[in-house]
Amino acid sequence: MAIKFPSLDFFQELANRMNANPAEFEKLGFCDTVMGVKVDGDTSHLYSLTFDIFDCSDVRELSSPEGAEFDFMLEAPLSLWRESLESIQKHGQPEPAYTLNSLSHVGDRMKVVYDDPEGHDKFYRFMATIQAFVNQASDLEIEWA
Amino acid sequence: MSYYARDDFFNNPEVLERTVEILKGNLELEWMGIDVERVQCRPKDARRGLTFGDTNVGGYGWDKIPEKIRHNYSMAPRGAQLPDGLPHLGYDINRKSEVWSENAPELYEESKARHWIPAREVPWDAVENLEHGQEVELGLAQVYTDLTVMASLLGDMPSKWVWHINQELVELKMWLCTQMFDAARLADVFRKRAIAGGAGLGRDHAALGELVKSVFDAGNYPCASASANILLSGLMQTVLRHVGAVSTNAADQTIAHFSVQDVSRSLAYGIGHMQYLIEQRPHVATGLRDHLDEVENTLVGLLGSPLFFSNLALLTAGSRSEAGAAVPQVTALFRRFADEHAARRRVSGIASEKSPLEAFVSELEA
Repeated sequence: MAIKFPSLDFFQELANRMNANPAEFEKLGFCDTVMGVKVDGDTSHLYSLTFDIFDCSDVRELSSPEGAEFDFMLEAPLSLWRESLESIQKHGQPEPAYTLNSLSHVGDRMKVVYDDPEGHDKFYRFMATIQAFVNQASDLEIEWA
Repeated sequence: MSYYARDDFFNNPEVLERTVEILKGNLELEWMGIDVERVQCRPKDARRGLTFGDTNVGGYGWDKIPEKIRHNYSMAPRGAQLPDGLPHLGYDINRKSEVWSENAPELYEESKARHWIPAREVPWDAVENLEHGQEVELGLAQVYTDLTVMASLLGDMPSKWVWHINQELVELKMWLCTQMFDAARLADVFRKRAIAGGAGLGRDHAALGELVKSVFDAGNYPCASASANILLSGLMQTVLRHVGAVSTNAADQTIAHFSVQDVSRSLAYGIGHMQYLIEQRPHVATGLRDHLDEVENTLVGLLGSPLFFSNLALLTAGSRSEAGAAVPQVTALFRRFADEHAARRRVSGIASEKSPLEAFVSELEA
């Protein structure tokens, strides 16, 4: 059954897959951070993902980042999220130009929004886990908004 | 051998007499009645296991470490009974604030949990099919040579100071040990990648040497920590992010992906260390600020050096002929780095109004 992107169901499915795949995520190590994912389109959507040790323990949709206490938030237009996820679906992992690192590097195609530099650095401290989390969409049937 | 014990044990008849008694079965077990704190520690979360955080209990915990340690200069583990006669080990860093960061125990556990194995996890066969030309390979070999130098310093810096630090600060010392191991892994993988690609190691250069010397020769640990953990680790994080963004090879992608995690832990410690230190002793901020400005001066020497700048332009453009056109992108990279570095200095309490890095990047942009 297709899962709509963006949607709470999409990120909840990634969380379920992460929690059901301890072998991969225990190998990558502890990951403790709260991050935001913002998908800009005709209507913007904002999601909060809480990573706790080897799991994604909480996923929710928010109406605003205020009060969310994100360590960092990844913000990009729907079209870019779609290109990135399609690259993952085609290759099992993103092509080099579509990794979270490449997308958020100089050029600001994907913005990394943060208040505290230590929170920002958590994006890089847990980079491998966060990328692996997104890569789990490789075989999801996605219905694009 | 430069230390001679206070007793000549072999020729001491009392030692011999005691040993004879033991051989007769007259054991000395009165120490079993030792009066030390008994506590119960269990993992707060079984998935994490029993962490230092779980043993931060009573007199065994780091919360009870005094700012000035005057009671123990031996190798005794914190919380053990300290009988008379323990030798002084010569520790001369005996103030908690000089080294401590509240996140150090957590970073120690994280470092162990997130370790990776370059020898097996980098897809080395990808280096046989590089998908880029010889010019880019030469550029990558040069940047990996530079990164090897920087990683070596990230290992040498804590190893220069850790044996000076009082054993009461055990969690912090263990964290410094993981920093050394992380640095060894980074120097290992950068060196191997340069050699394995066929281009070999690149050229060392004085501008980089000046930077690492200014970090290594810091006169005290807080200055060394600020310059290695905030400035140098920040530079490495930026360069690794850039390698990850411009490379097309699975080996380089993997190296950048994992290495950036290792240096980012040092950034977290550096910021936490400065915050703790300045909260306890606000007056030291001025000296730290001046030191970091001075190290930024050598950083500018590196960023502006023809070899370093030109190589980043080459890697960004993907060819020698187009490298000149990539100068604005390298400038943008330096702007990103300068802004992030300034933000880290700000939250650390050592912001600078006369930052050489900011002045240099502003000049480039002008």
